[in-house]
Amino acid sequence: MMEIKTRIQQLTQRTAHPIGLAIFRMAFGVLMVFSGIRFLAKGWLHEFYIQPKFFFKYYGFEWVTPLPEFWLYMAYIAMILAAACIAIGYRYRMATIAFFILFNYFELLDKTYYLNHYYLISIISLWLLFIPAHTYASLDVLAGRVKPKYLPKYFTWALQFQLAVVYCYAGFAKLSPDWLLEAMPMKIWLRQYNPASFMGTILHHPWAAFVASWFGFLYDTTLPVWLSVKATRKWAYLAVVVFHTATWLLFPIGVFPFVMIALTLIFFPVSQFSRIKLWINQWTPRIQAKNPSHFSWMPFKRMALPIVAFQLLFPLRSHLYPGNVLWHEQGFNFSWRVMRVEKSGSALFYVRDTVENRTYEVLNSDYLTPVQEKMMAVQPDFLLQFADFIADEARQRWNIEDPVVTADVFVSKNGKAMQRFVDPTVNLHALTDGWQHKNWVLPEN
Amino acid sequence: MKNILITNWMRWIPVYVSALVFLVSCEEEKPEANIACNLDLTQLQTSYRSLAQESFSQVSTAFSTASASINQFAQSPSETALATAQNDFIAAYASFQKIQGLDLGTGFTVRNGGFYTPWLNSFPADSSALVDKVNAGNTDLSQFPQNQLGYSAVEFLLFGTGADNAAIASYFSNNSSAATLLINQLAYIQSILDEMSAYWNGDASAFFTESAGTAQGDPLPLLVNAMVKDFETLKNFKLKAPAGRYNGGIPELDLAEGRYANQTINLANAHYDASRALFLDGANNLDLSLIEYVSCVDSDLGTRIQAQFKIVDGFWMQLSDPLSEVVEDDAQFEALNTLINEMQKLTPLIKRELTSELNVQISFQDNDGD
Repeated sequence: MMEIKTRIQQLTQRTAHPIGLAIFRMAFGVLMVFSGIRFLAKGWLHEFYIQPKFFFKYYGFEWVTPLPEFWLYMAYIAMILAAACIAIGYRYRMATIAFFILFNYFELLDKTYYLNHYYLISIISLWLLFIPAHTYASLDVLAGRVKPKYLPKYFTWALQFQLAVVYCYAGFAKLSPDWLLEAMPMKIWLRQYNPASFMGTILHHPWAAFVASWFGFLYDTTLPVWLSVKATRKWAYLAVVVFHTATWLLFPIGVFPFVMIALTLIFFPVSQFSRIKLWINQWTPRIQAKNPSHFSWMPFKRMALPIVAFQLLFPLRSHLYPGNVLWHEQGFNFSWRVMRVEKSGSALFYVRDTVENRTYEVLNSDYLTPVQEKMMAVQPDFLLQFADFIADEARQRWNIEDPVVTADVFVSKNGKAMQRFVDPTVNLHALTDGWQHKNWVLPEN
Repeated sequence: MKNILITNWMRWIPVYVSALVFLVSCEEEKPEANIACNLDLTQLQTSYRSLAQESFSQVSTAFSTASASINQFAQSPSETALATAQNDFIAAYASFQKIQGLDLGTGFTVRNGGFYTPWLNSFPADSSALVDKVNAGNTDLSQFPQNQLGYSAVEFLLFGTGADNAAIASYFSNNSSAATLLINQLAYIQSILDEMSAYWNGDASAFFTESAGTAQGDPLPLLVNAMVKDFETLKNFKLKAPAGRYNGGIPELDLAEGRYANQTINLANAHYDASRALFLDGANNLDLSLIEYVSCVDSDLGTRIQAQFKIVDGFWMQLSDPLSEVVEDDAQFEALNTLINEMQKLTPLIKRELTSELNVQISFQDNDGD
């Protein structure tokens, strides 16, 4: 026991040149600026957060609501500026706090737009709150606000751990018959090219989907190992570039491939960046002492261990629920099930006035955007929230005192025929959301 | 030493993989495999482009015929001229249903751009606003909103401006502004039909014969989105809304298309036939139809879609105009509701399963994926 303790103590005292973290910081900041500008340029801020009449809230964060339009734009621009400050290392501490708060504010506004890569950005921004990645190649150093110094290696290990978690859990999620033996949903996704074209001939070939599925599985599951071993690191990184470029070309996944290509550089030892270091040293003060001056393991440990535990355990919660998580989606989000399922659904809600004995159908498009409608139809927690919303609407619009809300919901998973998703007799408005198993979701056939 | 360890470990990879395959194959039942499909999408798209050219030509011809008789009525109003104008207009209105499912949201620039259907047929027409404009002599359509323009506005002017045809003819005789407004509406509709005909016959739509894929902006997703949206419009706004499905079962006849002409069922039926033809190519107008592509990718889904359309087909025969009588008669009202229910069953099939199988995103709202 003592030996382990001593070993841990020794590990916490290991230091490294901060260039690896500086590159990570700059890459993260630049990509967030690019991603933010792209988001604005596509008009998504308006479409996602201003135009909708209704927002799907995260459990426990129902209190997060959109600001008035002007302030919403201001907050978004402030978030982009904070990302730029992170990139150049200007007032880094403040910038990381601002970015963390603002980015997560936008994420919490509507869970319709949950994406694994947005979640990754949330978590990375949380790590950066506690990682002094501005102690080299930053404006803070140039201005003398911080001294350039070597940093404990555990900062780098934390980020490596985070990326390894993403890859490994994404890989484990693919360990399933539909992915490996049926190449689903890969078969569906590869159908985007004309079957008669050159690319189409390749991608529509039955083996193409199998090759892609198996490569994806093996890649995700083992990549952190190949990146950690010196002999395979360069080849593994080449695979990262090829894999993510291919996903960027084939799937509509925005900047995520570039985020992963850039952030995976954290697996390289600082010795790999010696040329960049020489160049940076021309215009920035050199590091005088090799040892960290005041970094203490304890405060970082207090913050890091809960995140590590959360990252390891929270993705496993789906196993506490009976049935297939890809079907019922209880424990699906925040568990790195990246590109794992192709689902489509259709939901038709009814409001029943038991006093007047009348039934009203609900036209979802009166309240929801197409993307909201699409996401709602396949996720039970969304269905509950919308049922509550239309019950309130029914009270106001039709003066129904005690509305009963039911729904005909049909879902298709990975190309299978649609089947009924929730019990059509259950009053969804009478149910409350929570961690408990949603037994009103019908089992998958 | 490390290398030896790695080599030893790697030697076992085939065993691990075999074990893995065995494990996962025991976990659940195998879903059905999809068949590789080698249909040429450009051929499919080219045939839809040809169909669009033909449909617009037919709609334009029908509208020209109606225009001639409506013009004649507007210039010398009489009951006889009105009856001819009404008949020709109903034929043109029914013919127009053919092109609603071809509204891609591109190629239309007459007003704000985007989709032309709302600019041609937003129903019901705002009758009181149209009467006010006739009374005020305001016949310049450039500032008119959607629900005072197009087919629904012409329908109101020809059928709703008097209690009977004698009153309508008299209204036009005594209001030169009404005649001018009617003639302007005809010119407005014609300008949109001309623009869209030029689009389908010109270079702007040539990408239908060249580009093939399912990314945003490719012909197939544009076409499938248009067809699905059109089917949903028919079901939700031409049938469900007037049948009172959003109103606790109390019919709302004033929301119906063709309410002034008492042609709601006729127009909805024409619309359904057009929608069905786009999906299934019942009349064999297409070299390669969407249902052939769907069946190629997933024959079971293709069969289910065709079977459901066939079920819906049977219910139209039980219904006839006017809608006001349908909702008063228990048997007919039940038939209408059954028709709606059966059409509702098509929604998950075409809006979700079909689009999912063809990897087509079913919304014009762009966003990133995982």
